[in-house]
Amino acid sequence: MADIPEYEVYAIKYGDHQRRRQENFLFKDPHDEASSIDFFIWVIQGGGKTYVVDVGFEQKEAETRGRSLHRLPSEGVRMLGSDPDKIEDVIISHMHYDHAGDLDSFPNARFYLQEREMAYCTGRCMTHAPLRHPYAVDYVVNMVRLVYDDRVQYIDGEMQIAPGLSVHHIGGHTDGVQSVRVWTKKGWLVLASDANHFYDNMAIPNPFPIVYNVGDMLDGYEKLRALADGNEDKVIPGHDPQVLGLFPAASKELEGIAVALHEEPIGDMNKVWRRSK
Amino acid sequence: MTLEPYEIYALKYACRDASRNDHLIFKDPHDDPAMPMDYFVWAIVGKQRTYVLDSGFDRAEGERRGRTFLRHPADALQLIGIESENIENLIVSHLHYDHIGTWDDFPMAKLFLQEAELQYAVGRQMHHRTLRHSFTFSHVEGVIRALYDDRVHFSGPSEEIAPGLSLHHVGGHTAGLQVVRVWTRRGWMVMAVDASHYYMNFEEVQPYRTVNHVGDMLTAYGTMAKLAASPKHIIPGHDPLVMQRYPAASRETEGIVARLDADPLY
Repeated sequence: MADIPEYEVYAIKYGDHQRRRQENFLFKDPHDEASSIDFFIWVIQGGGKTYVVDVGFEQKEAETRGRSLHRLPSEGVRMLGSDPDKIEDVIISHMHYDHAGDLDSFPNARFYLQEREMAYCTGRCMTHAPLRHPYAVDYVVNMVRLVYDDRVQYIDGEMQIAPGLSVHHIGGHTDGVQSVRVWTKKGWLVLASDANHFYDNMAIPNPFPIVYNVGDMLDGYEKLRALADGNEDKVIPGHDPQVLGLFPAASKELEGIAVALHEEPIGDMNKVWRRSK
Repeated sequence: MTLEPYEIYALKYACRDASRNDHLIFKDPHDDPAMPMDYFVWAIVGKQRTYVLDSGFDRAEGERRGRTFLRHPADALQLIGIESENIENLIVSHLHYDHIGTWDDFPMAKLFLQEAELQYAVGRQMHHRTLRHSFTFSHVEGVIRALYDDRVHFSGPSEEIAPGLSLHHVGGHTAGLQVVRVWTRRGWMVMAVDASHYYMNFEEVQPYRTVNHVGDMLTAYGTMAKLAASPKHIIPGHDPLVMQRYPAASRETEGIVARLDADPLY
């Protein structure tokens, strides 16, 4: 893979929310301890460029939904040394409020989105309150505004964004959720985003309860493994607080905020994937 | 047949000058006569309830696009006793600027439109300026907000929304264009809207220039012929002839409101 850059990939935590473990599973889980859902965006650096995956939510939506916003997602990008104004490519995994809110902080970006996701969040399923709930109409119309500004690149299935960097439609959680595959020094790494929320959803498997199509979600877990060359350790879940402890911090200053996913894990991957040693 | 007939009114709210070759895909370089265009909204009035078909555009939108604005669509509706803010059912043929522009004058209304139309208006083909040009972002925004407000009904490909009133997806002009079939005192009528801008489009099989899918546009001419009692029961969406071929709703509304379920004058 001589011509393909080895990308560096970072997860940045920008918020969280305390809840019960039961809330993470479709089928009742025997354990119901307190649990945190972390909110992340991801930054990919390589080939002389910086790519951002998802843009989180901003203060207004955090208040509406009672979530803790620790920093604007774009501020997280800045902490990693990139100017959001200069970002040219932003991948949006799906249009839920916690992934597609802080669009305005990237005024020069092109946004990569599955056309099917936009069709879903402006389509007949939005007449159903439970499916509509995770979407914020202000964020949806903001993205449509970008369509009319010709700043949205719609994707139908999969697309290579740069050599060694591609997006892949998964579906399940929403009809158009997509994951990202990126080449690193340790091989293919897959940013599942909400194609897999927590390690346990995929490891047990017990699907996340916010779901449009359970079959597609379960198929999606298999697709993610395949995209990671069969190595589930390289599939990064979208909301699991364990991610921050499993990988080394991006720097001393970013301890507890950003981790380097392209580095070897420092935590026990057998444990999170429920494998016997 | 025990269906209650509907009355149908065409309300003219704007117009523009143009010539024949402005409108047709197949031009005639030797013959380009004047062919002005009218802009309408329609009211479909039953004993039980009233449906408004399309909401036109407002003065600002008309001026931006160089149209001659005559009257606000909601003001035109008032001429026949319809208050837009009380309307519960707004049928939206498609989302072009001249059909959904004053959506906010209908705050109580359920919007009946095709899912395919909204998906077209937010989808990949809006990358093309040619196709995007006929849409106005703030109108599309309004429809999405109505959807999140639970005020959108996505019609099926062919759906009866009330006895004697059905919506039929035809596409062509836009991906999700729908026509309306209405039971009236003179039989089944079809509101073609932009499935046939002028009589000549469907009569002479001369497709209109603003088009997404020419094949579907041509197919729609046949679909409408089957849905309507006769070609004289099809009402084109923009033809000034409509005002000549149907009597005014009243002496006061001469030149503004035509009564389409009356016997035609041609």
